Amino acid sequence: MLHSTMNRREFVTGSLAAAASLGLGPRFLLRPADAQTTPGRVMVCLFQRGAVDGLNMIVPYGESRYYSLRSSIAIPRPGANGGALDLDGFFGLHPSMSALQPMFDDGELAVIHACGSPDESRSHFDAQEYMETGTPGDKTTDDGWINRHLQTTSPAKPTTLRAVAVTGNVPRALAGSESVYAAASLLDLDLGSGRQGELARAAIEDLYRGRTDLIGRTVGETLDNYEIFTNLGGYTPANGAAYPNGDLGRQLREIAQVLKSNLGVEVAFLEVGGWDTHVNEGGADGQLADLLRTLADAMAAFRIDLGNAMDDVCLMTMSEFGRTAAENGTGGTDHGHGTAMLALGGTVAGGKVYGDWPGLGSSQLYEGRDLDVTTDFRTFFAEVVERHLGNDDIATVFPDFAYGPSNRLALIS
Amino acid sequence: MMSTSLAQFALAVLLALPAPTSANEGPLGSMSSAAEDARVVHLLNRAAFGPTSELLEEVHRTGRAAWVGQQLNPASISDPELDQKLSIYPALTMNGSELLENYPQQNPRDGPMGIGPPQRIPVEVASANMTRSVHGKAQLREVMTDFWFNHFNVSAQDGPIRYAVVGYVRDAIRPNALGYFEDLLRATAESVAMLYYLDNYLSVAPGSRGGGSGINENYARELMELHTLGVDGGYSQGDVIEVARAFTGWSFVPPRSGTPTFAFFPQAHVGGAKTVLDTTIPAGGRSEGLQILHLLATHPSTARFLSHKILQRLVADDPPQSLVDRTAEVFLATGGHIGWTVASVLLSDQFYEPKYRSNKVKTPLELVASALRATAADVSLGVAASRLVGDLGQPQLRAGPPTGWPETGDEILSPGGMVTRFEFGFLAVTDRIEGARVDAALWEPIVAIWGTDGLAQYLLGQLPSDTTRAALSQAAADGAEPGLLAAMVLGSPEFQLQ
Repeated sequence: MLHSTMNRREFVTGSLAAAASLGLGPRFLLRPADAQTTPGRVMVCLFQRGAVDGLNMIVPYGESRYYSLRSSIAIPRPGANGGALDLDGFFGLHPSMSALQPMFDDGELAVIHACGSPDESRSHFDAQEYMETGTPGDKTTDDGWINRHLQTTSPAKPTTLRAVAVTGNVPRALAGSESVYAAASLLDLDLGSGRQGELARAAIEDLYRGRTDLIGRTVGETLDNYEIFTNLGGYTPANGAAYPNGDLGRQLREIAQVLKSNLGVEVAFLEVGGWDTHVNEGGADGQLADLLRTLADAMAAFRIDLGNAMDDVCLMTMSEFGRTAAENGTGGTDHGHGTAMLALGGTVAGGKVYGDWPGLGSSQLYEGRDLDVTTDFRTFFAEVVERHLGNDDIATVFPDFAYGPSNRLALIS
Repeated sequence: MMSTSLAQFALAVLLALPAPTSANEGPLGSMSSAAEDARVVHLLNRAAFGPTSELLEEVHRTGRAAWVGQQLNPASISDPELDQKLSIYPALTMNGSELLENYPQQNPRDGPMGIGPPQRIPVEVASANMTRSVHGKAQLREVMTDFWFNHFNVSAQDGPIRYAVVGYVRDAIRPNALGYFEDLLRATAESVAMLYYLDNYLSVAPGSRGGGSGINENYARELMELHTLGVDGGYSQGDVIEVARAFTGWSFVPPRSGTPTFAFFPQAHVGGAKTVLDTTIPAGGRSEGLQILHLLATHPSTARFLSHKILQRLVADDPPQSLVDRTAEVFLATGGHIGWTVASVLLSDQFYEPKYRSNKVKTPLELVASALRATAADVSLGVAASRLVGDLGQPQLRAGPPTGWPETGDEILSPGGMVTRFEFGFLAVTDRIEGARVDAALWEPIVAIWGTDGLAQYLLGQLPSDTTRAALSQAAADGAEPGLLAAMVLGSPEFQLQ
C-alpha cells in the first residue's frame, strides 16, 4: 500500500486531490474521473449453464420435421396463438422473447444457429469445460480463452479491472495468469451496515497495513476495487430501461453500471442456470418460456440502458450444447449437440440468422438424434475476439483451431 | 510389503523423536511456553484442520511427537461422538445397489423418490467430510484424505460419479490415506469413479465387441502425469500408448445390472506383451495393469513428485529441494508408506522453522473447517458449511479438471475472493451458518474480561502480530462490537494464513 503513514479514511476524505497531484494516490485514483475518455471495446459473455434448447429458443418453424419431433412442446408457426415471432421467414424467436425482436429488426441482434462444440460429449461438465477453455476434447488446458485474450493484449487504460465476472468464483473461461475480479455481486460487500460496516472496512485495512506479500497485495486490490464500486453510488438505469427481477437482471444491471463508469472493464462475464429441461419443458408457456422471457427482457434492458455506449459493446450468449431434436417421454428434452447463440451490439451485423442449417431429417441429425453442429463455437468467439476486440492473436486464444477468412461468419461489421 | 528395512526405519524415527514436552515442565520453564505454543499451533494448522482449545491442551500434555504417533494409526482412535454425528448421512454406509434404490434417477411421476435425487449423494459425502474435518479425532487422516482425493481427483457432478463417490471416498481413499501408496493407487485404479472419470471404461481393443470405439489414453496419461511420475517424470508418448493398451478391459459392471463394481473384461483387452519405461510387461491380462501400478508406485520419479506435492501441502508452496530429496528417500525406504513419510516431515526441525509458519494461504476447506474449530462450533449438519467452501471457490468433490483444486496461494487468492473470505468471517462468528451452531454471545464477555488480545488468543491459539493486535484494539476503541472484532480475527492474516 502506498500510504504507509496515513490512515486510509483520512486519506480518502482529506487529501485525495493533493495526493493525486503528487502521484501518491492508490490505484483507484487512476480511475478517469471525467467522461471524455473514449471507452474501448467491451465483450460481455452470458453463459446459459445447463444446455439451452436452441430449437425452442430460435424456432425453425419452416421445417415441418420440427413439429413431428415435438408434438407437445413445439412452438406454433408465426401468426398462430402463442406462435414464434418471425425473424427471416424460416426461423422465429420464442414468443416470450419479444423484447429482443426490435433489436433483430434494427440489425443489432444476430443469431448463430446449429452452433456448438466439435466434441461429442454430452456431459454438462466436460462440455462447459471445453467451451470455457476453448479447447474442445482437451482437458489439460489450464487457462480460459478469455484470460488468454487478456494475456495477448494490452489494457486499453490503466486499471485493475480489465475483466469482471458477476459470479461467486472465477469462471474457467476467465481463469489464468491475468488478474480478474469475480464476485457474486460487484457492488455489495456485506460487512455490516452503517458504522459497524465502516469500522470493518477500516479494520481490514489496518490488519493488512504494510504487508507486501501475496495476501497483502490481494487485500490492497480488494480495498481499491471496493472503493471504486462504493464510490459509484446509487444507480438509475437510463432511457427507462427496466431490468427484470432476479439475479440475471441484477447482474446485467451491475455490469451496465460498471461499464458506464468507465473503469477500464474490457470483458464482463455472467451466468444463468436452469436450462437443463429434461422434464416439463413447456412450449409457448411454461418452464423454458419463463427462463427465455427473463433472458430476453434482461438483454433488452441492458441494451436500452447503455444507449449509445452499446456501439462498443458485444453481448454474446453461449451454452455448452443443445438438446435432443425430439421431445422425450416426460415433456422435456435430453442432452443433445448443436444449439443457438446470440450476439447483440453496435458492431454486430444483425438482423440475420447465421450458420448453415443442417436440417432435422433423421439422416441429418447428429447421431440420429440431435441438431448437428455446423458452426464451431470457436468460429463465433474468435470472430468477436478478432473483429470486435481487435486481437489478432487467435492462434493463442484458440490454439489448434484453424480460423481464417474461409470460416468466418462475418457477423461483426 | 512390511520389510525389515521399514521396521528399522520406524525404530530409527521413534528413537529420534524429541521427548514429550510440556509448557510448564521444560527446562526453560515458562519461557518455553510461547515458543512451544507456536509450534503446537503450527503443527495443528498443518496436520489437522487447525487447533481447538481441547486439542491444544491435549498436545501440550502428550507432546507433539506422541500426538503424531497416535494420528498415524487412525484405526486405534475411537470416536463415538463423530460416528453419532455422521449417522444423519444415510448414503455413507450404502453399497451401489442401495444407493440406486434410495436415490433413483427418475422422474418423480414415475414412482417414489426414496431418500432423494442422486445429486443429494455428493452433498451428503461433502457434508460428512466437513463434519469429520471439524469434529473428527483422526485429524491427520482427514487432512490426507482431502489431499489424496484432490490428488486422485474425480468430479462428483459427473453422472454416475454421483453414486460412485461414496465408495471412492469411503473404501478407496480414506482407508489408504496414511497407508501404502501402492494400495491407494490400486484402489483408485479399480474404482468405478476413476474408471468413469478418466474414461478408461471406454478403452477397449480396437475391433473388440462391447461398444467402445477403441483405445482411450486419458487414464494412462493422467496415471503417469498426475498420479505417479509427474509431467517431467521421464515417460514418453509411447509409454502412454503402452499403458493405455495394458489397461484396456479395466472397466466396471454397469450400474443397472446390480452393484457397480470393478470388472476386467478379457475380450476387450489388447493382447501381447507391453513395454513401459523400458520394462517388459509380459502378456497377462489384468496382471499387466497391476505390474504397471507397482512399477509406477515404486519409481524414484514418483517418490520425488509425491514428496514435492505433500510438502507443498504441509510446508510451503515452493518447498526446498533438500527437504524434497530427504522426503523422497523416506518414501522409497519405507516402500512408499505415506504415514511414515508424512511423519518424517512433521517431526523434522525444518518443519518448525519460522519461515515455514504463516507462509501458506488456507484453502477454502481449511478456512471453513478451522474457523468452525476455532469458534467451537457444533456441526450437526455440514451442508451449509460445505456450501460455503464452494462459495469460497473450491466446491468439495467437484473440482472439474483432473488436477483437482489448486493448493498454492497465488492460485487460491483473488481480490473478489477476499471479499467472500471477509464475509465468511462474519457468518462464522454470528451463528449464521445453518447446522453449525456457534455461541455468538461468547465474544462480548471475552472482550470485556480479556480484551482484544484475549479474543485473538482464544481464536488463534496464540497472540497475533503487533499489527493485528493494534488493529483490533483500535477497532475496539472506535466502537466495534465484539462480534465484529471476532470476525476481524478470522479476517486477519494470522487466520487466513497457516
